[in-house]
Amino acid sequence: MYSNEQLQQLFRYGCALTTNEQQAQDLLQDAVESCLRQPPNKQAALMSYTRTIMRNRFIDAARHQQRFPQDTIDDEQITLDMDVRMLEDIVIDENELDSLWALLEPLEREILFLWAVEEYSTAEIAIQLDMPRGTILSRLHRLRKRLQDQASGISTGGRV
Amino acid sequence: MKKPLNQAVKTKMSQHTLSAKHLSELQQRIQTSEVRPAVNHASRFKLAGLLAAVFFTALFTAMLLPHMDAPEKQSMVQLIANEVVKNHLNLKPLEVHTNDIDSLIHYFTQLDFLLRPSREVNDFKDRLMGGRYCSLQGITAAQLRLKTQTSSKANTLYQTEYRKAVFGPLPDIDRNQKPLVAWAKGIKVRIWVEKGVLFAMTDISQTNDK
Repeated sequence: MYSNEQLQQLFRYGCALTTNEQQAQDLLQDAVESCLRQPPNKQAALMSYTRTIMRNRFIDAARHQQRFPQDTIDDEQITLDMDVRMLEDIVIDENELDSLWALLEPLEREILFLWAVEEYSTAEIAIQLDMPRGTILSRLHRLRKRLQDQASGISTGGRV
Repeated sequence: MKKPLNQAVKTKMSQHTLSAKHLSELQQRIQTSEVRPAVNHASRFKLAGLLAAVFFTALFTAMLLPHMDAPEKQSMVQLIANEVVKNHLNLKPLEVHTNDIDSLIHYFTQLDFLLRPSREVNDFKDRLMGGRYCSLQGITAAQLRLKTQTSSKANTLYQTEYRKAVFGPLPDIDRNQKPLVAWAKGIKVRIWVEKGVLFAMTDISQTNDK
C-alpha cells in the first residue's frame, strides 16, 4: 500500500507540522491506520489523503492544547502576481533556517514543506490544505516578509 | 553557506528519517491490516478455502524457496532501480557543478558517509559534472551526474550509506561479487556496494531493445 519512500515522506511532513520526531511518528501511525480502515477511492490519492488525515489529527490535538491558531485572512493588499515563486529568490543558510523553523507557525512550516519538498504550486497547496487560494497567498506574503525580516535580524545579530 | 530557501528546506527535512525498525514495524502493521478485512467478511466456506489456499501456498513456497532468490531482495532492488530512473528522467538542476570530488565532499556535509569514486565507474573524475542532495528509499543520498563516455548525455549515480536492514543484502564488489542489474522504464541500472557505500547507476548506453 505504501512504499518505504512514501512513509519517509509522510514522516517528514509530520516533522514539518510538529517539529518533533516522536509526535510525527505517532501522527503517521494514526493516519496510516485510519487509511487502512477507510482507504481513499483512488490509490493515486493515497499520499494526499494520508496527509489530510495527519493534518486534521494534528489540528485536533493542537486545538485541544490551544496551540494551532485559527487562520484569518489579512487585510493587507494581495497583488495578483503573488505566488509561491515569490519565495524563490530567498537565500538562507542552514543555521538561519534552523533558528527560524521553530519560530514559524505550523501552517507556515506546512506551506514551506509542500512548496519546497513536494514542489507544489500555490493552487496545489490550496487544494491540499482545503483553503481558499487567497488565504495561501496571504500566508505566503506574510511568510516572505517574516523570513526576510528574521533572516536579516539573525545576520545582523538583531532581534531573533 | 547560503542556498535557495527551497533547497535549504529540502535538506533540512531530509535529515528526518524513520528508523529501519519503525519502518519495518509500520510495514508489518500495514500488511496485517490489509489482510484482516477479507477474513472478517469471509463466510465459513470462504474462510476454509482461504486457509487451504494459505496452507498450500506456504507448502509450495517452502518447496520452492531454496531454488529462488529471496523475494524481498528482488523487490528492493527493483524499488531502488525505479527510484533512480525516476529521478534520472526528472533531471532536476544540480546544486553544485564541479568535476572535483573534493569540492563535492566539501558540499555534501549532511551525509553520513564519504563520497568516493568507484572501481566500477571508468574515468570517474573526468566524467563528473556535479551533484545534488536526494534520497534513496528514504535514506539521505547524493545524486551525482556523470557524462557518458560516448555521447553528450549523462548518467545518474546515487551514493548513500549502505544499511543492510533497509536495502537488504546487495553484492559487495570488495568481495568479488558482481553488481546487480535491474531495468526500469527501459533504462539499465547497476547496483552494488563498495567500501560500505551503496552505489546505483544508470547505464544509458544500453536500452531494453538491445
